[in-house]
Parts: sequence; structure tokens; C-alpha cells
Amino acid sequence: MTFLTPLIAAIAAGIAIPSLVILYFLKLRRRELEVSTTLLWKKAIQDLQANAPFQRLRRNILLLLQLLVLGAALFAISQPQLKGREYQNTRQIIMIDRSASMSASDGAGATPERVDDAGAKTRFEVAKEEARKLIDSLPESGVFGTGSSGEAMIVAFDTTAEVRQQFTSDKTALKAAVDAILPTEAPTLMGEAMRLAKAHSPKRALVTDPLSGEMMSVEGLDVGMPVTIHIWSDGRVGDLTEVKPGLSDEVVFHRVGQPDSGNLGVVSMRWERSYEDPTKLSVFVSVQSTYEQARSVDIELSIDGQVAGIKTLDLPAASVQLAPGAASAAGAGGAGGTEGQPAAAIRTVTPAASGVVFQLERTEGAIAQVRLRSPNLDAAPAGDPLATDNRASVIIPPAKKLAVAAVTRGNLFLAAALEGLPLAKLDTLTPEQYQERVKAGGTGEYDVVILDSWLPESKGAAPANLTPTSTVPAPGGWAGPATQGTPALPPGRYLILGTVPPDMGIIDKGIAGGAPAEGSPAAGSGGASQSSEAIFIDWMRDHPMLRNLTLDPVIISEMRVVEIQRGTGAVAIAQTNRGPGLVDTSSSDGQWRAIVIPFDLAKSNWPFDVSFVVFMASAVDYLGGAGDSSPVNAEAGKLPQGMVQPGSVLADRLPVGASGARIRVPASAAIGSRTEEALTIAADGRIVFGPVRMTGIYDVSWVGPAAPADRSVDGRAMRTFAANLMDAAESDVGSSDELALATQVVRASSAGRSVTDRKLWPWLLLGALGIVLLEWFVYNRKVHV
Amino acid sequence: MLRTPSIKRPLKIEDLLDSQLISRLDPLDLASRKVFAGKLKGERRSKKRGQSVEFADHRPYVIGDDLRHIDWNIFGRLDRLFLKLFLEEEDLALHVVVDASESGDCGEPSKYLFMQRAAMALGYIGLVNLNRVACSVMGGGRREASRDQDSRGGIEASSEEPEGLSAIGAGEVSAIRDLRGRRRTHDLARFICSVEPSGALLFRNAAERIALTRRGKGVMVVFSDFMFKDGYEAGLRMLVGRGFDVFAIQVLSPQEIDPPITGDLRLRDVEDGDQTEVTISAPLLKKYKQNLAAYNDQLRDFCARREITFLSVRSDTPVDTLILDYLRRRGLVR
Repeated sequence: MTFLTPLIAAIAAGIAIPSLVILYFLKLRRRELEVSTTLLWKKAIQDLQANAPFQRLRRNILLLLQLLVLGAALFAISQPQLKGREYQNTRQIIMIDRSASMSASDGAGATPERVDDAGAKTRFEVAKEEARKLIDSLPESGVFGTGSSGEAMIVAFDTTAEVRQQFTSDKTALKAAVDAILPTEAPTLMGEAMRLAKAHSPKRALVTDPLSGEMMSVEGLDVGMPVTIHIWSDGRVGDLTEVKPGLSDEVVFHRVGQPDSGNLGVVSMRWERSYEDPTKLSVFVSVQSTYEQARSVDIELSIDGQVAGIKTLDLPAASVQLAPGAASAAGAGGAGGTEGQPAAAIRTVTPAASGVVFQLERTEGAIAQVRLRSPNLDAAPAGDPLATDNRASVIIPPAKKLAVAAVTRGNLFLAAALEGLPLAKLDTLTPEQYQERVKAGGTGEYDVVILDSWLPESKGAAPANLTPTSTVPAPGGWAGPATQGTPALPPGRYLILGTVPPDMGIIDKGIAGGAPAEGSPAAGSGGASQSSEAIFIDWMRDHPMLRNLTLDPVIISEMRVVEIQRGTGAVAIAQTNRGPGLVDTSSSDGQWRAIVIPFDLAKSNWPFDVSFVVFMASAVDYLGGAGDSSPVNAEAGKLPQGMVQPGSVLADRLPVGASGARIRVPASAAIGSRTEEALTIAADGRIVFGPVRMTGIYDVSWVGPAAPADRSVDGRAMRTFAANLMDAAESDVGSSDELALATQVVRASSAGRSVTDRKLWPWLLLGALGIVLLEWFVYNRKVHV
Repeated sequence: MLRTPSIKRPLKIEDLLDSQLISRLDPLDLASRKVFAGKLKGERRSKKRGQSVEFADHRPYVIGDDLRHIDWNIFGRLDRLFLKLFLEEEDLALHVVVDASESGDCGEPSKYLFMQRAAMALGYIGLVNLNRVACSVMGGGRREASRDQDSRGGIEASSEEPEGLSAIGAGEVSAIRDLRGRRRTHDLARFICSVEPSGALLFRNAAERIALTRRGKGVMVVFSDFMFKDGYEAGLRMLVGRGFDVFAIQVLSPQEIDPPITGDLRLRDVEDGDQTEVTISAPLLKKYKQNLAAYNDQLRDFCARREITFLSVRSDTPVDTLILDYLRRRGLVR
């Protein structure tokens, strides 16, 4: 027991107790009353005094009780505390993992066999309870503020991290912040959380400059009180090596969950249409098991909510290795949390994985969902603590073959490259035929138009003047397409070879090295000096068109030099030593998109390289593909279109003219009963939602034009996104015994230990109140009937 | 038991008896368990033979008897002289004694006011029925104005009041005597109103004075709280000694019966200034009530042994209840 303010209590006692006793020595000041006669009173008093042998003691019971009250109050003023465990530091950072695996229902009281009981607590609930207990046990400054008060900060993290409460000693605020944390279904990354926590600790030291004697501040020094970082997690963290707590910080890892919990989870789900026959659809589902025994599980596939197939999957047992704990080896390095605990064997589980393939015949688009079931039972797998990864869904676009028009005067390389593509229609047109079709308005049937060294003439104007001088646009030419009268190209998707269209953000500088403004590019005359040669030096290797090819062997003998106009939609996706070699350009209103190859193919060795065929195939796919805008989740390129992982942001671009966008979230992610939220559409049609918290189907709908792959529901265009966990590490729910951080290895502190740091003064005051009541009762017994 | 906060002293007969009470008192007459010889001719049958319409007896004539009382019818028949004797009707002497010690001013309603009104009511009954009424006040002080009024009103010298004294001593008694007839009611009222309670009272001395100065026999009604520090026994013994039919009426205020006081107090006796320090507590109050009950039992026993009719009333009892109920049941009025 410690006393926060013993001195104040002693002073108060020195004043109050003698005062109380002196009060009892004073003669009672009596009220004077005139009565008719004192005859009977005198007799009564004589009788009473004769009959009360303990008269003096009776009077002193009140004094005794009052001394007790005073003693209790004085004891309360000294603010005694019963100490539980004390952490090294008075500042605590409470980090609570809210990721998907924390929703596993093997918290306190659950056995691995009975985790799916209704009463079982999830790890997240246990973590919140323990955090509340820790907050309760924080030392308080006391009523008079003489003691040092404990401060705490609350950080919640999954893939991202956020500070839910800054450092404060207000326990009510801290507990409210803990209560307000909601579980998500995102994977776990702790690095950001730790950086966030460190950012909120003081990082500035004031030192005395030895020369001038002035105070100056030094950034970056760990100063101030070091903090104790409490981590409530199951230890399933993807980026432990990124987690770098301060060297003087104490890290306490409160493990929640059972280390030997097994789990079944869908870790991957993909679809693929047959290249030859796009109506043949294959859905691949990969399932992982971390059970120590072999399990079999039913996988149910539903297409648009209708069950389309059930397959039974037999999963082998996961292999489990027990290794001596790393903490004992790293014990000297660990700053805290390791001492005194014998190193237990570290359990390493290598999950067993297996997969099934569903074969379907389906031309239309669909929402495909899979669900894990107990064999021959319409119920979740028995003993599976984590429900999130028992489901997965993908959005399958409709099967599509492209219609391509090649406008050429005869190009052997082009014809050979296009012939091998699985296209629905391939029309080879002369420029004149194409021009007629444009006039008739019949070019809409083509998904992609390939313009080989020719550009259609603008309406009401002379055939496009392709001389370099004339194509140099006037200032602001991109923003003002009226310089050429009307847009040169009708809306559509174009692959333009050997020429540069005007008004597309590309400035034609003419043939490299050659005399400019001499001869038309279409003529592609010789006479190029040796300095017009070019090779590719760099290209965007993650661009869909260039992903699988190399441009190193390509030599361009006659390079047309172009320049990208800034502030336009044009992007150079491949660079030669003479400037942009491949340009991806699109109009701001999404009317048309074009891939421009400025040089003449015949003046290079590219058609002879295999990369040309690959490029043509991907370029046609890219231009004619479902995406009429930039790919979804361009920053998270590993995810296919229409998929998003919880914890990340759902971002997409809607067609121009869309308005009133709304998103419908799954019921589990709804805040209250609101499952629809309005989205704000940026000027370029971009929408952002998130971070996505829960798995499930997210429907974005809007009023206005729809992209070809979008559905139309109740007059509104709709695009669907599927949020899945699909994280093998997260699905391995067995909680780990230690956290191997970058700077130290932290073993889990003993679970279930209750931290008590009880203040006693409220109880003392309560006791004092009770004695006052007793005293009042005794007094009244004496006075009244 | 506490001093009455504001005392409204009665000044006239209307303050003591209202017309309603008078109308209820009119049919009443005094009675006594004993038959006393009267002094004047009255409406009461006496032991003596005398002149009245009611025949009592015959006796032989002796020389000197009044010839008017000879029964001539018997003389005619027997030729002997017989005298007709009639029952004498005489008056009854009523003596009302009021305790005017300062404790009478205590209680709510005031005990003394109650005693004044009860005494006036009894006196009225006596006067209306042609009885001799006397009233004595033990202790107390005379009010100046009322004394002037007395002298103007021409009270007859029957009063023994000491002229010019505003305060009467502890053992002193002022009295008005030999009032008879309805017209003397105002004199009685004036006398009763003229005395205010003050000082202490030595009951024994006062009783002795009354016993020594009274004339004849009759009914005596004593109003007091009988809380005398020197004891009530000797005084009562003196009053009852010469064959008076004594009624002792103890008047207590409701507050004396159930004290409404709490706290740490210093109690001062209004009469002699004696002080007692008490801390009011439940056992103390219980003890007080036990003592009061024991005191009254003792008093009642004492009275019963000496043929004194004892009655204890609260000062908040209506006067007509006292007269018409309590005293009628005990045979003082009928």
C-alpha cells in the first residue's frame, strides 16, 4: 500500500483530531427554557442518573464514532493505493489489433473444440476488456495532484492505424475510445501503428549549447519519459520486421486467442475464361487448413445467389514444428517483457492448402460466391473460429470477343499479328471504305480501330494536314480543340501506327535528324540520316500492355520525334533515346482513347520480334477490354478488377456524366441500419470509398451513362466490387507466443493476469459515511422515542 | 409547560362566559353530597325546620312558640295545641379557590385562563340559584385598573382584599365573599379578572388562611395544578378539615402531559427561578411521563382517602365539557 498524500493527511490529522476532542471538553451551551415547574424534571434526572451506571461511557460512544469518521476521512485524504503490477513507465500506449483474425471466437473461456459456441467471446472482445482493466489500473494523480498520473494513448490498427485517443489521463475518455473501436476484416500490419505511436511521443530535446550557453532544441533524440507499449494482438502480423519501437520503450505483448487454434479459410479465388471459348468459365478456389488433423470440407459455389455446385475437398493435416523459443536466445537483446519467463517451445504451423476448380458454361457476367460448409451439412465448418475467411466472392464480367477494324493500305506485319488473335470480327478496310463508314455512322460496331499510317479527315476540313509544322498546335491547343475546327477522330478506341494525330497532347517534331517539314510522314521516305536511329531505353513494365515483353532488341531506324504536351491525358509508356516511343493518350471526357506508335513499323525491326505479336494482342485487349478508364486499384495492382481487400480504399472512375453516386455496403459493415451511403464524384469521375472495413459485396450505383461492363438496375448504372480477406497469413489464426520485432523479441505476457491498482479512498469515504449514519442513529436513539 | 407566548387577559364577564355557555349553564344547580346548614334563606332544603311550604312534622306547643304556626285543625279535633313544622329551605355556600401562582401562565392554552373561566362558570351557577358564593385567589397580583373599577363599582365590604397592594404574597389570599343573586355575577367576574398570576405560592399557608377565614360550611372547589414544591398534603388537609365538601380539580396543560421539547436545555422554573439542566432524550421523556403519572396517582389516592373529589383536566378541555360532563358526573352540579 502506498500513500499519495501522506503529508497533507498528517497535517489535517494534527488539526482535526485535537479540535474534535477539545470540542468534547467544552461545556455544552444549553438553550434556556422557562417551564411551569421543574419538579418532575428534577425527579426524572435523578432517576435516570441513578439507573445509568455507564453514563459517561454512553456519552462517549458519540465521540468514539466521530473519531472513527474523522480517522476514515483523514486516511482517505492520504489517498492510499493498493498496488498491483507496476509498469516501468507512466506513459502507456495501448495498441489494439482490430484485424480479421481478431474476430476469431476463441477468446477467453473457449476451448479449441467449442469455439463456435454462441457464448464464446472473440479475441477482440477479450482484448478490449483487458485494455479497459489496464486503464482502470493506471495510477491517478489523486485529488490534490501531487502524485504523478499515468497517461495513455489508444491506437487501433489493422492494415492501417489510427490514433483513437491522444495521451491523456482521463480514464473515462480512454475507456470510451477503447469501446468505440470496431473490428474490421482487414489483414494486420503493425508498422504504421508503431510509427504513429512513436510520432506522438516527444522527439525533441532541449540541451544547453556548450559554447553560447543558450538552450537549443535537438530533434530526433528520444527524450522525455519512455513509454510502455501494450499490444493486444494475436501475433499474426504481416510486417513484424517493420515494427521498430524506441530502444528505451517497454513493449508488453498481451496475447489473445489460443495458440493451437486451427482454421479453415479461403485464401484465393480466381476465375478464368477459356481463351478459345470464352463461354467456358473456370472458378479456382484455394482453401487452407491449419488444423493438426486432416479435415474435409464442402465448398459451395453460388452464382448470383443461386447454388451452382458443391464440391468436397479433403485437406491434409497441417505440419506443426515445435522449436525452442527465440526469446531465450534473444533474451539479452530484448529490452523488456522477456525476463523471468522460461522460453517455451515456439509452435510453427505450415498450413496445408488445397484447391478445387468449378467448371461452368456462362457467357453473362456474374457475382460468384463460395462458402465453406461442414461436409453434407448446411452449416459452417465445425470448430472454425473465424467466419470471415469462410466466404469469398468475385465479380466475373461477361464473356467478350472483340471486333477490330484494321484501316490499312496493306501491311503484312499487321495482318499476320492480327490473324492469330481470337477476335469476334476482324475487318480490314481501306481508308476510303473506313471514311464512308464513319460518314454512315457505322464505326460503333468495332471495339478497336487500328489506323495504319493514316488518319481520317476531319469533317468540314481538308484531309488532315500531317505536316510537322501544321501539327504543332497553337498555344492551348489541347484545351481548345477548335484549332482544327472539329475533332479529328470520332469517339472510339484507336491503335495508331506510324503517325501522330493532332490535338491529342502529342507534339510532332518530325523525323529525327532529318530535315523537318520535308515530305509527308505517310510517305515515309528514306533519306534519313544515320542519326535518326533510336532504341528503347525504358518502358513501364507494369503497364497492362507491356507487362510480359521486352523491348530491348527493337531498333528503330527512322524515329519520329514527339513531345508530350504537359497537362494532357497523354502518357509516354515507353521511352527511346529520342523521346517517347509509345504514347497512351485519352480525352478528358473519355470519348476516345488511343495508343500511338509514332514511328513507322516498316522502318524498325520490331515486327520481326516476338514482342510485337504479344504487344498487339495486349494492346487490343487493353483498348477493347472492359475498362473504359484506368484500371481499378492501380496502386494495388495485384488485385484484379472489381476486387478490393478490407483495409484498403475502394477507388474507381465512373463514366463522364455520372451523378448521384451511392454505395451499398454489406449489412455487416453498415453503420447503424444505414446500408447506403452517398459518394462524392470528383471532376474526373473518380470515386473513393473507405477504407473498406468488412468483407462482402459493395454495389456502386449512379445515374448517367454506364460503361460496357456495368449493369443497369432500376434505371441506375451499377458496378459491383467484392471485398475478400483472402490472406493466408491472416487465416492462420493460431496466436503466436512472441512478437519478433525489428529491435527485440517480445514474449507474450502471461494471459489472464489481472492487473489491480486499486484506490482505497472512495471505500474509506464510503465507510466514513456509514459511520456517520450509525452515529446519527445512535444520537437519535438517545434523543427521540 | 412553557410560558404562554401571548396572554390575552379576560377583562369582562363576556370574556369569561359567552352567551352560549350561559344558556347551557342556566338550568344547572349546585349540589352536594352532604347537606349543610345554610345561613340565609335559600332554595335548598335544610336540615333545619323552618318556613316553607313543605310540611315536615308536628310537635306539641310550648309557651313562647309562634301562634301563627299552631295547627288549628288539630286543636279543633283534639282540643290540644300542636305546632306545624315545615322544612326550611336554605342556601348552599360555594367557595371557589383558584391558584394564581405564576405557573398558571404556562401552557397553551393558558392554565390560569382555563381556571378563571371554570371558576366563573361555577360561580355563575351558584349565583343564579341564590347560593352564597365566595371566591378566593391564592397568590397572584391585582391589576391597578381593575382595582379602580372595583372601588367605583362599589363592592361591598365583604371583600377582604388588602387595599393598595398590587402584589399578593406567597401565602396571601384575596377573596370576595357572600355574593348572592344573579346581579352579583358582574362583581364576581370583575374580581376574577382583576387577579393576574405572579410569583410562587406557599399552598399550605394559603390554605390555612382560607380555612381560618371561611364562614359556614358548603362546597369548595379548588383549581390548581397541585405542583407544589412544599407539598399539597398539608394544605388539602386544612381545607377539608371542617366539613367542607372539597372538589380538587387539577389543571394541566397539554404540554405538561407530553412535552414537545428537544435538545440540550437549561430549564428554569417560572415561579422560583430554580434551574435544571437536562438533555432531552427518549429515556428521559419516558421517565418524566412515568413520574407525572405516579404523582397524579399519589394525589388521587390522597384525595380519595379524605373524601375529596379529585379530577384532572387538561387546559384545552372546553369549559362546558368540564361543567356539564365531568362535574355533573361527580355530583357537583345537577
